[in-house]
Amino acid sequence: MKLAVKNISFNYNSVRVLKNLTLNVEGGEILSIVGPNGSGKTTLLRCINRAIKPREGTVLLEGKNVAKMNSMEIAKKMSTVRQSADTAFPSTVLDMVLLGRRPYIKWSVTPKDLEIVDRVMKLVDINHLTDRYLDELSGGERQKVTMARALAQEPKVLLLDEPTANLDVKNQLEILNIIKDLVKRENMAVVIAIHDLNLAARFSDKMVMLKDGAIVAAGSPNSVLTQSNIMKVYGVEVKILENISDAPYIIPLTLSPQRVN
Amino acid sequence: MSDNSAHRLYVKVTAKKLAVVFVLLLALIGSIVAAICIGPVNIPPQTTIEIIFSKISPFSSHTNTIFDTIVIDVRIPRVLMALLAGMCLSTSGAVMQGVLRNPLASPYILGVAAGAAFGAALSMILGIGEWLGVYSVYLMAFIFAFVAIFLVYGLSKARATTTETLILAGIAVGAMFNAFVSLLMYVSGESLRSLVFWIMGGLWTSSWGTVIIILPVAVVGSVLLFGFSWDLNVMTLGDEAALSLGVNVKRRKVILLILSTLLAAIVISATGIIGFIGLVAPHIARMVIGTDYRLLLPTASLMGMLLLLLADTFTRTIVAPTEIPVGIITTMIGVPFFAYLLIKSKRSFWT
Repeated sequence: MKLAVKNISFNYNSVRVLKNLTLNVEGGEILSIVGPNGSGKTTLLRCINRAIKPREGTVLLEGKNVAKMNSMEIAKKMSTVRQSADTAFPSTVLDMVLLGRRPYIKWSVTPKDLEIVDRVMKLVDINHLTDRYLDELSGGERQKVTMARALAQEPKVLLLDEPTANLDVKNQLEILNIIKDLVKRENMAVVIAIHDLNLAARFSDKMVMLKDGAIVAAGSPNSVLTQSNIMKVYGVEVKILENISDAPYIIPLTLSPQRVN
Repeated sequence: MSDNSAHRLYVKVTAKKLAVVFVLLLALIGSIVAAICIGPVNIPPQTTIEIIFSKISPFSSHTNTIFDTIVIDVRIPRVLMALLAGMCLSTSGAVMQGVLRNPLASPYILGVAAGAAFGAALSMILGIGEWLGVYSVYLMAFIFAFVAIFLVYGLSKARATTTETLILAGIAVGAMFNAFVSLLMYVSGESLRSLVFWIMGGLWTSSWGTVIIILPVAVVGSVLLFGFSWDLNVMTLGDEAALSLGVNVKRRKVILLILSTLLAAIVISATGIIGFIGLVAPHIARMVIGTDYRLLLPTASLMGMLLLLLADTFTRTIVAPTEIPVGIITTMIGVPFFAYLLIKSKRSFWT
């Protein structure tokens, strides 16, 4: 098991934001976390990467408790891609991706570091942008730079928080295709917090649906994305098309007449 | 075509950057010699070099002249003080900009300079902390510089820490400490000249005594900060991104802010407030060398030394035999630059 999250709970100002969550991700698997705004998707990711300390529960990274690892050890095994990676100062693509080697670099940048940087830039198809400045790039290109930086850490577990937000359709598909390819090739475990149910259905092996910090449904996209689950969690009536691709396709119809609690 | 283009590019760019550092170093050495030679009494460069060698080498047949006194007791300590001040202020500014992720941060803008000046003035005029001997001035400067930066940081954190709140808090705290310094001067009947010294900065009080005290702190502090280069690189990405790259930001932030405040305070306690060097030098360095702190800190130091040395040489020769406080010149150069950064802060400079 690459990543095992056991009975995680988190309180924010005595409000329970996460309630006893458990999930497992194997190598080569993509798990997506879906749920409405404020359901705890990002908080869960932050608990996993130790940006915040869960109140209860453990996170096991390749069998090791992350609470007992130092941040450098964790950084060599797990990396995170956030939305809108902004720097305070204009920096080149090469310099930015090279920062992903920080957990391995003592002082000098070695040829091995640059070899890995070169490889990950080719993987996400930004090797023609190496000497460009970040602020000259489009949103999609910048998201790929952030991905390359995370991959330069050579992670076993990759966490992505809304990797496709603010991207156009082409870039959304491109980013997710890259992730899907990588997962198989590098045997990584991937966790994606994502709003778009259709993209989630199409690209993930497993899904977890959250509501108010608790898991409402978990399993394959087909078993999670049902009319009744979506009604229960989002309060929206939907139609589900089964024969578009192998993944279910959701069309929102109307808001539910009664408020669901 | 090599199949590893990142490697080729890195080697090429690094060689180019090192060449820039080398040229800067040569320019600095030239300026140092020039600054020692130029003044109310001009000394030929040959004589200057002869005098310096006679002091280093025990086998010199050199006979002392009036030039010796000028070079050894007046010009060299002053040049050294300008170099130390330039190095400390620009290193401090570069680190504050990285830690606070704010291109407008610097000891002057954040009120640290005013705090240090107040602490030093307090110690000199009211004799507070006298039992510490010669170090009392420096220690008091550091304590109040520290009070200033944590006041500014705390104030800006009370609301969301944005570029604007941090700068506004800095201006407010700086203005308050400047008012305290002025009050202190008037109440104690000090001359206007000493008030001008604290508010506008000057290097005319430089002596071997102050250089000897400041030199070790400046060098050790700068070297320690240089050692944090990679952490600074990562910290410009923000706290959580830095953490996922293995850098525990909270503790580092405090260490880096203490060290950078110390560097600024120790200089200001000897020179008064020299504005904008700590803002301008790191930015010019960033334009020519990029954002990697391993190269940025040395380049910013060289740039700060060069700028301050040139500004000081200018201020003491242009209206000789009197002189203009160097802080006036640095501020006059710095303010338009500050405005430029404010407008264009997100654009890239170097192509």
